[in-house]
Amino acid sequence: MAAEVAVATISAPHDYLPIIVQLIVVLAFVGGTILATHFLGPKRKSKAKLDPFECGIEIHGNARTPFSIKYFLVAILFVLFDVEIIFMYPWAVNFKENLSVGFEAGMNNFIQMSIFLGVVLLGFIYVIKKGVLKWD
Amino acid sequence: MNILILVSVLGVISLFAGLSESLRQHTRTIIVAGLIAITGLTMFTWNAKQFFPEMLNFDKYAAVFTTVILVISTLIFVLSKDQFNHDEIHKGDYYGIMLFTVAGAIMMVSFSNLTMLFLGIETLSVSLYTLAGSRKDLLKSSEAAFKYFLLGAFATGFLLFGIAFIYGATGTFSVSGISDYVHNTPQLPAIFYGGVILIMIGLLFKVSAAPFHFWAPDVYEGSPNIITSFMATAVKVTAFAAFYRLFSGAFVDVNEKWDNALIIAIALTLLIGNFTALAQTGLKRLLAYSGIANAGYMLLAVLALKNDASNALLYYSISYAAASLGAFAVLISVSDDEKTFEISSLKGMSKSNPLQAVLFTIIMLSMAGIPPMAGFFGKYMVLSAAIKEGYLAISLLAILTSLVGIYYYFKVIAAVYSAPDTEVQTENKANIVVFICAGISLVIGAYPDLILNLF
Repeated sequence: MAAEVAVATISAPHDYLPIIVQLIVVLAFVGGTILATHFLGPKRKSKAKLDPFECGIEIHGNARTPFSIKYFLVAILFVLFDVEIIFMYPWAVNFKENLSVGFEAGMNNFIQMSIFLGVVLLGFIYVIKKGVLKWD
Repeated sequence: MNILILVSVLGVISLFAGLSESLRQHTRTIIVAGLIAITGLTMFTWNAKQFFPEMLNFDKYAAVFTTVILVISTLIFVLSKDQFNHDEIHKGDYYGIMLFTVAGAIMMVSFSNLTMLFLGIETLSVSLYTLAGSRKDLLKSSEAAFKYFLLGAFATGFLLFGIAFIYGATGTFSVSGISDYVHNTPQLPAIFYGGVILIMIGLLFKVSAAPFHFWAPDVYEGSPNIITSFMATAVKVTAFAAFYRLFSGAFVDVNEKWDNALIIAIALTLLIGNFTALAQTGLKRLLAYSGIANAGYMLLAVLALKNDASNALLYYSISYAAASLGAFAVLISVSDDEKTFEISSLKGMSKSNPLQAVLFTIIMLSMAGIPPMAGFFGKYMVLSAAIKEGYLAISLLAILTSLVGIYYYFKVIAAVYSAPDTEVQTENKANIVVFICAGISLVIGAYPDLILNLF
């Protein structure tokens, strides 16, 4: 198997030419657009225009003030459990197909997901016991 | 595989034990008992039924190194009494993360697929970044974690890039698949060699070999003592075992293509490690540079892998880990994490604690490579393996630099036996870990066959 792949993948330097072309196109596009907007666009420099965030509400304070670590924790936990759900989608789609192969294949599939969910559930219990979601 | 699962479960148990106030006091005891049981299981079940052998192959090599790692970790947990008292609530978490590090280490010594190698390295490293910063009240601990994380992530990039190159050339992640490819392809593409060198850079960083050693002294210095001892022993042995396993498994047939790069790295490591250690006044920094220098000797075993130097590597790993762990155990018994411990502060130990002074001397002699101790035979075996493969010049350099090493190890011994600046009280007790480490250094030095017959 590996040997067959090997024959197919021996490559001379000129085989990498498309990569260089791609690189040039990418750099030219980035540079080109930056230059083009610089020349094409109108230049208006009012205070409102130079605000980093403009939606009608007055800006007050600095963006770099420290705020509670709880926000970060909730955000990271959200990502974690969100990914868990994402994993479940392809599993659920394939479950029926696997079940049609036979009971054993379906059962295997089920056990594997149960182990995964069990590990995540342990993490969830840990998070709750640790008091991460207590908000006061 | 079973061992990996058991260690991970032990880590989860430790996390949960840390939640309850009453169990928290016993977490360490539970872990030590669990690790001893798992170590026993490793020794007796290494050829049991394998799951996913194309991912993790728990062969004899893996079993032996797993045993070494588990024994070192057990000793470190024994040593970690009172080490996390500053942060009672998170005690279970620290222990848990340490166990996850061990789980990563087990993956690193038993992988048979590059993805598992990468996963193992990441499990190990990410846990270590956290542990390096576990003294949140100390600025230098955070600094160590930050430096370690930034540089480590960068090195991981190199490793991944290398793995991608290898995959691009061979079309497989499996170590045996790569080996087959190398064997059956008359003209290897340049991209393959590029991948080998990039992987080598990533691994040289993890073993703290020059010129990728810059993180080691600062991270060792800033991390809590117990974590530094963990990094200097278990993690270093693991990184070498993984390095050797990958290069002897996949790249052994093209070793004339990468050995020059490795020789340069070894020469730099030996010179920088030994000569910079001369100038150190802090004991922890001295041990960090000694760790770098020792990485050079262990790399000689990797260099000589064509003729199976795994015995030499194993023996050197054990002798180095025993000596290093013993030295850190002494450091932990005489200092805390908060301030730098100078070598001159050791003065008077022979008066205040004669037993520990004698054991510390044995450990330092082993590190320096003085004959009856294990360190000498480790160096001897590594050097003879390298010379047998014809790497004469680098072996000569290794011998010469080890003479330099003797000077700074004796500086420590001299401090132990010189007169104290102030009157000290006599207490004749040594930490049990110091005892065990000095014992290992003596016993396997006297009977090297104990280790050599393992393979």
